[in-house]
Amino acid sequence: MDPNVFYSIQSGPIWDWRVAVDLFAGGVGVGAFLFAILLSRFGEQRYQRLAQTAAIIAPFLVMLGLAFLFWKVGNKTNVYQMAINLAPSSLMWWGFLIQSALVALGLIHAWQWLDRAPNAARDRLGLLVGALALLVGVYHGLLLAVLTSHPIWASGSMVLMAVLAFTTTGVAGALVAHLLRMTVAGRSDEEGELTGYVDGLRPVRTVLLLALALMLANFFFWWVDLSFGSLESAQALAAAWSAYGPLLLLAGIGLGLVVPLVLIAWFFGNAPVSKPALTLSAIGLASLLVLVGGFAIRYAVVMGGQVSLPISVF
Amino acid sequence: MTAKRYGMVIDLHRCVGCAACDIACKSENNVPYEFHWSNHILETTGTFPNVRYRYIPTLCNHCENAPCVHNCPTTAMYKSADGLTLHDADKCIGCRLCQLACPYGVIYFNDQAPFSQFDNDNAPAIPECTSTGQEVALRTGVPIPYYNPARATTYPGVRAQGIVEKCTFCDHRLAQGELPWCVESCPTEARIFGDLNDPESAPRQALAKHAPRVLQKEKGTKPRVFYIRDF
Ligand code: SF4
Repeated sequence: MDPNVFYSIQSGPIWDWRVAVDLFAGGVGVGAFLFAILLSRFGEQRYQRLAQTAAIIAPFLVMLGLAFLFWKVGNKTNVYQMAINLAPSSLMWWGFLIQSALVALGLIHAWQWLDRAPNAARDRLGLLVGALALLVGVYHGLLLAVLTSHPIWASGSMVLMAVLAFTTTGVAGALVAHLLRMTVAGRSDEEGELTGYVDGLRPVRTVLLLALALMLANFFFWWVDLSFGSLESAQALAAAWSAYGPLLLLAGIGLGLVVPLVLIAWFFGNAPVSKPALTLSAIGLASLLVLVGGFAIRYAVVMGGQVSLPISVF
Repeated sequence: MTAKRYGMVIDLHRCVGCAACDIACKSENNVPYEFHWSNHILETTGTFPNVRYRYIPTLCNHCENAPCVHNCPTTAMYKSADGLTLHDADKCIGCRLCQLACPYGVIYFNDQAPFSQFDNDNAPAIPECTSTGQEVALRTGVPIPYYNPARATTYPGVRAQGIVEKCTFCDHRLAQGELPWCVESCPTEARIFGDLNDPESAPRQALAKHAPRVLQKEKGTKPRVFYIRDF
């Protein structure tokens, strides 16, 4: 018979929904940075306005995430201590440095994007900002993955999930913001006619479809890894699942991965040229669902990873 | 001379599960009711009549490879020269990463303002009849019982809000050449404390005599709190 263990430690989640918002908004920001940089390097002229939208929202999203994290920390007046102490063994310390640099350079990058004309200095800065954004995106996964006392987090799947999540939500966030901009401010001449515009988005569709499918596969391998790994990881999965499984399954995977995957595949496959407005609306809806699901996934992972287990004794 | 390396051995055969250590720690370190710097695990196995009950005292393991220290972004959680895992309240931002990193649940986060218990103690047990705790304290002029001058030599005498806290092996007492108060208070001398670098020290002798165990060895944290024997 299993031992019955009683151990009274501090109750409640240690990191709450504000950390999930930080990881989510930060991830959208990181993905938007990379999307903007890739579009400006490889995208046609008609997508430079989309790149501009992405580049401008990106640093503000990272800042929004950090604002929630700042709200969460208990002793706000001491936050400067991270800047005056060297803590190289701490990932969070590295995260603080990299994110500070990303926000500072990202704001300059956004300012340079106020004018869409080609700009060599902006392209050079974009490379640096892109590298920093990539590091921050990976950091969001590593921060949890190094906490080995939480089996739900402590795996490579956690890092891969963070990378795929910033890819999908970053692109989706930029698309939603740009569609809003198009709705409010109208389309610009440089964006050309709608049919060509929508048709030219095919590479973005491919990236989204691939990332969404990989994310589904990653969830499956994560589940297999935890279920058939150690007893501790199987128990952690069962505990997390009973509390946050429905949210992850319905909102995160169902609404946030499967439905957008089907929507994007269907509309790009069937009606991109004949009904461009409909396809664009479908892309907008799919992107919105990716964002909703992306937050649900981050929330379920952050909270589910903390569902406490009975402590093992000897 | 080699530096000291403090450690504790808990003899489970001697421990009677009286929790005197838990209470002693609270009074020595101003630890409130709901926090347990000194704590215990209760484990029951088997089915009647073959039931086994274990009482395992716990506290910060002052791990050699302390995940709380590695993860702290401000170096507020640090290893002292004599191997204690200590916490610098002036550097702590209250991010609670150390709490998440610790596999033993021995770090606590204090979200209560200092004196909040005193401030809130303003309702009499019997209205118009008994005094409130606050009134008694103010009228008699006794110090508000949240400041601990002995404790305050190495740590805030009043527990600060918004940061974490944990067992320090009573570093303020060690500095005076005294033993941690939980060790002094144990009525069965089940807690054996001393310098693990000294082969003549009591814990080294105990470890030489009995095979030690540590909590969650597989985590690789190298705890400095060892358990010997059983009952
Ligand atoms: S809560 Fe304080 S001691 Fe713990 S990791 Fe954060 S800064 Fe360090």
